[in-house]
Formats: sequence, structure tokens, C-alpha cells
Amino acid sequence: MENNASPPYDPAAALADVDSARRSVADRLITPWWYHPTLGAILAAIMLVAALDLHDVVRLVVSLGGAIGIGLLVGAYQRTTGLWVDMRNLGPTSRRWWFAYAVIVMVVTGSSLIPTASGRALPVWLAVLLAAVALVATIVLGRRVDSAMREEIRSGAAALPKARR
Amino acid sequence: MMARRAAARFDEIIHAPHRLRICALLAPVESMEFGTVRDDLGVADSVLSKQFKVLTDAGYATTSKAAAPTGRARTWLALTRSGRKAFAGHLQALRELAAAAEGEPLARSASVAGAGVESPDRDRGDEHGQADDPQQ
Repeated sequence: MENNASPPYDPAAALADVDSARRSVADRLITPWWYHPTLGAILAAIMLVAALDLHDVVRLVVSLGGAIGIGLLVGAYQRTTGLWVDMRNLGPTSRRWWFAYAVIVMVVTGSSLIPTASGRALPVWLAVLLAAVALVATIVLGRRVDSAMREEIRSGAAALPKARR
Repeated sequence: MMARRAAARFDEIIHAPHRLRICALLAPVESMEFGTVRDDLGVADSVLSKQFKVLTDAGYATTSKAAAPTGRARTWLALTRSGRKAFAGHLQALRELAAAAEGEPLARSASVAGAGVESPDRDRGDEHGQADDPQQ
């Protein structure tokens, strides 16, 4: 008897489709080359003006400019990649890299705020060193997080994040 | 393997091929732009809108609009918490069904037949339909 029904969508084929979709997402999760250097430069600038204990007007302008810059950067990333991830999407390996980065940023930021608490600027060499650490850590560890996330998505080891709603 | 093993639960809403792929695309990310999902599926806007509406009606997905510098709002798609849980449970059910069906014809697998596995083309009609504009 002729049967015009389509073949059933069997579980193995469905799982293969899921794997294919995951690979597609991982391939899209390529952060533009300019993203981490720009983010690092913004953080470095904010830390530098704080560590050098420059005039409050300068610190305010740089901080506001940095906040606006980060907002524009995120928007540019989203337009370029067509997706957005946040820390809730991190898997076990990428989460470790992210926490390592967070610790470095907290230490560097805390150090750069010493002048705010004490009223005395840090030596220029130390201020520049803090800014350089922020810049390099953002570039190196940011790319490490991305790389780990891509691998986790491909393998299906990515976390199951909680949605906001 | 998902980081957190979910309880197996076959989900008819998610299992349709396009909707399964939509969920698989959205699960690893916070959100994905409408056009990116559409291009990955290779379907018209209207097809994605129709399939995504089924997911949103089930409470599995949500949309948000974000203004672009060009002035045109971009639509972002995301899974809700219940959608992520349902997808994880469905994946686990698929793994169990695939394991059970291994080595035997699918048609003879009562568990698969009983799960109401549907045709791969069941939700693939109208792929070349007139595109509506979900971003209006």
C-alpha cells in the first residue's frame, strides 16, 4: 500500500539536529577582534585617572565616557554577532576563566581606588602598571572565556542558565 | 551533555523540527537576533514568526525589541526559564528514546511511537510564504 506519510522524526535525527544547531551557535560566537582591546582600554583609562588621583571633573568625564563607551561596545557586539551571552551562559571551564578575570579586575580596581580613600596619588609607574594589567587581562582572559564557551557549546557542556522571566 | 541533568520529559511542542532547532540555538545564549535565527533555519520571516509564536504561547520563549542606531528596532528572541527546563527535559527524553531504539527499527519502538514523534516536515510548510514583518 502506498504511504504518503513523511518518515518519523526519530530521536537520533533530532539529536543530530540539536548538535548541528549548537555548532552553528559556537561558530557565531566569534568576538570581533576589536571588542576586548576596546573594553580593556576603557577599563584601563578609568583605572588610570583614578590611580593618578586626577581632578574629580576629569575622573567624572572619563567614567561617564567609559560607561557610554561600554554601552556602545555591547551594542556593536550584538549587531555584529547577532547574539548575546552573559555569565549565566558560562559552562564549567569558561566560568573558571571568568572568575580569574573578575578577581584580577577587582584587585586592580581596588588598588586604583587607594588614592580616593587616602587622598594620595599612586606612583605613575604603578598607575600605568595597573592600567596595563587591566588591558592585558581583558584581552587574554576575555578570549580564553570565549574559546572555552565555544567548546562547551559544541560539546553540549554549556550551562543551563536561568532566564530572567 | 548538559551541565545539569534534567528529568526526561518528551515535549510535543518542542519536538517539531524547526522549534527544536530554535530551542537548540537559543539554549546556549542569553538571546539571539530574529534575523540570525531566521538565517540559520533558512526560512522566511513568517515561518519563524509562526513557529516562535507556538513557543511563546507555551510560555517557553519571549521576545524583546531593541532600538538600533539606524532607528529600526531589532527583535531579540530568548528562551524563558520554563522553556530552558522543558528543552533540557526533552533532550534527555530524546537521548533515552535514541538509546532504547538503538539496534531496532524505530517503527517498532513503542516508546517512540507513543511519544507522538512527528514528521520532520510537519512544521515546515509555508517556507516560501509571504514574509510578514515581525519587526513592525
